[in-house]
Amino acid sequence: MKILYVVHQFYPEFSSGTEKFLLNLSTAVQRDAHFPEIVAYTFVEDEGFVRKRNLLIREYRYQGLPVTSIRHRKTPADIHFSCLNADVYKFALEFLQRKGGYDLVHIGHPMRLVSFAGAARDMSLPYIVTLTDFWMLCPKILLTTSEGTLCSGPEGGESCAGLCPEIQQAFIKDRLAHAREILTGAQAVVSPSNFLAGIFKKEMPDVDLRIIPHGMEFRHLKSNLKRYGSNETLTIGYCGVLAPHKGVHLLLKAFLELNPKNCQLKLYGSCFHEQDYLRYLKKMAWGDQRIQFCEPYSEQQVGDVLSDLDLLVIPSTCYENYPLVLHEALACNVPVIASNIGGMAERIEDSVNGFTFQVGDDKDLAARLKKVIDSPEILNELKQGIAKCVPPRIEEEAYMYARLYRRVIERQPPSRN
Amino acid sequence: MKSPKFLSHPGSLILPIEAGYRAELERLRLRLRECEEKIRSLRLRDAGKEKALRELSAQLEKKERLIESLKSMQAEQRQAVEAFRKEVIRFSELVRQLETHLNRIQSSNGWKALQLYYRLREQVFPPGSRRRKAVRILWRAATRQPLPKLRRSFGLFRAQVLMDKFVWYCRIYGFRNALKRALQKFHTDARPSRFDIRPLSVAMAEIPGCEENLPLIDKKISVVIPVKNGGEDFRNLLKKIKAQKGLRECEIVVVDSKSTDGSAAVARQEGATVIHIPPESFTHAYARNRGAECTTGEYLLFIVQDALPLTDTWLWEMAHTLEHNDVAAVSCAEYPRSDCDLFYQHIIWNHNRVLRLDRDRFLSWDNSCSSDTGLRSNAQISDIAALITREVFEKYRFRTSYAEDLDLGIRLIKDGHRIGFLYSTRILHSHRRSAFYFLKRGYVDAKFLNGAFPNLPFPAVRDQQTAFRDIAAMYSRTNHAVAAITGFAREATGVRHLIDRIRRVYSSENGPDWNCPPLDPDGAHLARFVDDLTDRGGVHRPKYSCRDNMLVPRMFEGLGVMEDFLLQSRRYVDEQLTGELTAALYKLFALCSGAHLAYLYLTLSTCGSPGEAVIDLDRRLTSGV
Repeated sequence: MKILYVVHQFYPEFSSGTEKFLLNLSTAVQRDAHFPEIVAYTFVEDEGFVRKRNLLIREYRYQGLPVTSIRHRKTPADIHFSCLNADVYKFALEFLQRKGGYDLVHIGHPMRLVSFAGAARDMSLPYIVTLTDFWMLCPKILLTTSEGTLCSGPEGGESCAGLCPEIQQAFIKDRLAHAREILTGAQAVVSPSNFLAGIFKKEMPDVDLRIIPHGMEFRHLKSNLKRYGSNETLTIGYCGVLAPHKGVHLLLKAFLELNPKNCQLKLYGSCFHEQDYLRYLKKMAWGDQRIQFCEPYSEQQVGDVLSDLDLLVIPSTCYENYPLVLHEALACNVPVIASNIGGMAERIEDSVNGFTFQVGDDKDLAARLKKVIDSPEILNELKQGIAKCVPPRIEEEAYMYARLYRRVIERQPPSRN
Repeated sequence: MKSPKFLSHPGSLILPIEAGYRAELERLRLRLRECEEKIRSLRLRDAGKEKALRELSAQLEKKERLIESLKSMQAEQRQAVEAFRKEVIRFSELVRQLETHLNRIQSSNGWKALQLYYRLREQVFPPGSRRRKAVRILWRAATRQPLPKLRRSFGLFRAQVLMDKFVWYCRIYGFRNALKRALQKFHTDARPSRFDIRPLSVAMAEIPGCEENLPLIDKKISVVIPVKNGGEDFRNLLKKIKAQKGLRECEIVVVDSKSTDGSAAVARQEGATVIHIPPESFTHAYARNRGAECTTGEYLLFIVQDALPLTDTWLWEMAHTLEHNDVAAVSCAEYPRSDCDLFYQHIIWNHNRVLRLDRDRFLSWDNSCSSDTGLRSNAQISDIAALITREVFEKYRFRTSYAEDLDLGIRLIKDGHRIGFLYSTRILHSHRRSAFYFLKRGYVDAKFLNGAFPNLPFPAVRDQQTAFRDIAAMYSRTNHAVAAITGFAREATGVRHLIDRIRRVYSSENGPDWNCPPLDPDGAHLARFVDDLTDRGGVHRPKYSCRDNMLVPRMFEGLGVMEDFLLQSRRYVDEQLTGELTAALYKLFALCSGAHLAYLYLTLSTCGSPGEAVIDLDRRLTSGV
């Protein structure tokens, strides 16, 4: 099989969850003697680009994978939320014709390069789409309103008119129509969680949706085998981006309010563009020796970092569709306290393998933390709950996709095969 | 003291009593004389009998000596008969081989085409005709003055290349072996059209959404897992088996060979039955048979400790295939782990490709089973994960200590059973082994294949010294090849160029042989082994010769397969690939060297005793595989 992966950004400049998922998937495909190739959008202003009309093209290799990255000479204003881009569409048609021989196009994230789906359709090439967030439904991606509250879906654009009045309703309706066209035209649409699939199913019931959970790279994970007594010193952690929608301030508030003596708090991650937020967090934690701001860790360090924690907190105020760090923590046998929404609530069963708290409620979070800090032995019970279910491995995810690819390709008319 | 009563009787009574005693005495005397007479006569009779006995004993001894001499004569005759029988078997085997070769040749498309060609030639250019003479003259003219383009267009160039290759093989392997290889190659090329591939259709349940609606497999399935220090993989396997859906009942039996990492406790914790066997009595067949004895299910699943089902419906899919397709057993293909190295990836790919196991298939006895590849393909039961009905298993069981699964498969299809092989359903399993392991693996595989398929030709390696020299020289040349590709990624060329560069190193006669250090980071064991061979053979710094080194054809063959695999999945070369290829080259060398040492052992064994050094090598290389 020859598979073309399309993604909104890729390594080495970007390394978030979607890129990790795509890297894992394409290397697994390569290991199984198939040919993967990646097309990604980039913002890097570097030498080595070749000009092609309004686009700049660069080819490179990343961990044995051939990658073609493209960017506009002049970045369009709507590049992050538009479902149509004429330059990208033309490039996609040429690219698919020039390279040729692809059996399937897999859209890893539709942002910026969604026109590849249209080009594939026009060339009668089968394509599948993986949904990793709400970009196809919400131009703001996170499904949040202008006031920062959570939204339950665009409802054909009607909700957006009231909740996000700054966005033109005609644009939203147009965009949703395009999104529907792309998703219904796909041979398969995959969601990593039931929650994400449910939101899309509500909006577009005719889309063929299936669930393939993201897998963990177990090679880099390490099990936390600690057993806890009543007077244990605990290390509570947060791992992820330091941004307001991740709710790190809620964790700090709860921690400071509890003011525990036998506890330390480690915050791993960087703030990207949210410098003000980082300053705010540091101001909150000022002078407290128990709170540490740690550098982001590499993929190889995941096991060391997570197994060193006794408890992980994910206080996101937005829907997390499939938080990788939550699954990595469970795979490392580390209990999690998470907000009671989205993909987090889908995975954490309250008081069984962790705790959930009312989203955005630092008091409720503090109550959960107090429960653990006062009697750390409760962590032993949570660990028993964790042990009952093994999170999926990356090989399992790749295998499910490989079977899906085969099915999609076999379903094609004979001329395509 | 009181006197007896009768002494007090009067004297008149004493006389008649005395007379009575005397008469009695007389009677006894007479009787005594009679007895003495009798004894005398009996003695006389005994003496006669003793004499007769002595005579009989003498006769017996004589006859025993006769029997002894007859026995020794019989033994000699038996030996002669045995030798004669062996000779007959050898000849009939030879005849069978030749008949098989002949049949294959006659049934090949090439032969048919040739026959057709002859018939046409006889019709169009009858012998002795003018037309025939004219064509002969033209042909001679054409072959005397080579016209490259014309020759190429007629395929003569290819024929010349093949002839050169044949001559090269003759020099390296000897004429007979080269001829055997050529014939084998000839059949291999002809085989695809004759491979009887019957697709197996399985109703898959691959979409997790459908898991709840799986039709129940109303059977008890017993899972048998031989274990030794299974670690985290084993724990995950147990959990995954317990999570399988769509089955009525599932029991797990773990056969533990004295694990020291608590595997037995983990198994008990997960509800499995644990049987202990002493590690010294472990063989793949014994452990599995022992485990199967303790099961109660209608279906038996044999699975290895480091395999992992990739979905929760994996076992259902296997059982569903077994239940609905009139097959005795079902097994499935491997899916590589994320840490699987390049060499093992290419082994999995090549295994599936060569044995045509890259699709769901029914396997049974057919015409292709006359070749070793065909038989291996059609008898494919993989012990990594194999599901079999209890009824069939109890009849056959595992037998051999190595490749017990292939042995079972062969027996099953020979008896008319069908086997199912799934490629659409696969199991997570791969190894990341050292180069030295592959040396042992190459050795054991070659020995096993020779035992299982006696017709399989192998190069005769008669000289221990030469064999050791070839291995040492090839190791040195592999160091050079690795040095030649280090940093190659910077030149930004393709996979073909990379492999060509390696080929050039191996095919070059020139170049310093011993100034290049080994570059395999995990190859210390292999390096020590090669040093040991060098010392044993007294072949210090042997010179590498592409023309004479017997490992060269195998290395080139292996490189060809590796090139095909890389072209399948990669376009460019980068540092990661050159790094992985470095390790793969050492492993390829190790595999070829292992096989070469096995050929040495087999050749010397057929000629007589292999000798102390080779027997010692055999001991070292067969342990722990």
